[in-house]
Amino acid sequence: MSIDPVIIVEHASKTFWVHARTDGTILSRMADFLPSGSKRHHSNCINAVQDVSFEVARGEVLGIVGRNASGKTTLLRLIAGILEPDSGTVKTRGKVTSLIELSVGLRHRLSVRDNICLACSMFGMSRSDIRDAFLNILEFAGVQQYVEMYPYQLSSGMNQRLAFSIAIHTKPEVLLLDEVFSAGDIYFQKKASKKMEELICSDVTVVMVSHSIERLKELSSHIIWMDQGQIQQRGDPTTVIAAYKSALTLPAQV
Amino acid sequence: MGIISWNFFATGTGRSMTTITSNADLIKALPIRSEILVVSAVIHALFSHSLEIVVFVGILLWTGITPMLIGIYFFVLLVSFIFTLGVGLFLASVFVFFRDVQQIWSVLTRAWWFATPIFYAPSSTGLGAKLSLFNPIYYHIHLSRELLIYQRIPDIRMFIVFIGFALVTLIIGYMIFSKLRPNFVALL
Repeated sequence: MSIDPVIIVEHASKTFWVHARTDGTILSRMADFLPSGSKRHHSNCINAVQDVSFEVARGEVLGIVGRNASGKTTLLRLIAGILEPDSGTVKTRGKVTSLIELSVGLRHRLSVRDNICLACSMFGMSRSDIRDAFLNILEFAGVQQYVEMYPYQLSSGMNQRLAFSIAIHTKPEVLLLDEVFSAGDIYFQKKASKKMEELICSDVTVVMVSHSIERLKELSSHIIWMDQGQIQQRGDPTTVIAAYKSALTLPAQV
Repeated sequence: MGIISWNFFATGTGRSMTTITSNADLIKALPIRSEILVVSAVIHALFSHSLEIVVFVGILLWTGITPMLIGIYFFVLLVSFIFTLGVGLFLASVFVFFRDVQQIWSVLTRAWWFATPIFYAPSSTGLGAKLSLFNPIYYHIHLSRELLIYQRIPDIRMFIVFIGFALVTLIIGYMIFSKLRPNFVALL
């Protein structure tokens, strides 16, 4: 049990039913009732997260590693409240800001200025807080001169920088980040890492999912290694990363 | 008046249907209540409808008719909003699962359009009159015509039936939307 936990995940499970036939039409579902239909089309059950339990204390930085489709992003979505667990519970305390997909939340029909205002208000910031943070967001993202332009007129890197900048300026108590270390160029990545270190020194609780395992090792106080929807290992970054790396070692014949 | 009322319903439901899929990035990345997107789609249609009403009232004034009962008309509009929202919630959630709902809905609305007394007055007897009693859009059009064009207080039973249609549609639409919502993220 952690002291003052702000994220409590207890026996959380999430299953997705994926239909083998992907065109998703009523006509195709009706075809399933034909004599040959049931053989051709079936549903796959994917246990994205299975009986996962852990707690994250206030100010702790939790890194999550794992191969593709190991349930990392689903777990982050459960914590963010985007998904509800099929069984078990996920509780958070305090204001949660999630950056699950970079550049998400940016509306292409709104200017950079309007996007900042909309995204900040969606993260629960007041009008005066948005006014105070506005210039800092622009400056951090390096898009001051593009404030009246639209996201589709900016590069994807600029959009990612802007989204990251908005997320870290929303004064979160719990920050959920999915693959943010790939945002922008090397200069911005260094700037983002520095900002992350500042956040970590403050009282913000951070949960980060990334394939940049060296960066996770540097920033995290604990690491969870996910595999096939389950926690394979949890512990201090050096031990878990070493175990994860050894599991990733390819057999000689591959 | 008929075509304006119909346009509100058709635009509102049409916009609602695609609002979940077109905002997939938001729904997958932020903990927002997705029904808000459907409400916003119907409000968007309501805004366009309000502009049409302003023009329509201008034409009425120009022809010497002062729409004294316009206050009651806003109540009819609110009921119509609730009905459109109910249908919109149903369509928005089902469209996530079945993308050909858009084509099916377009055929259904065309048939509904012909079955609704938009360009013609409903007969007082016969099958057409009976069918109209089961058509919620008929109530919207009839009440609007009575209030704005003919300056008459309509039969209170018409109001009650229209409110009943709207509330039942909203409850069913919201129940289906709530039931299907947990699957949105996996399917978008």
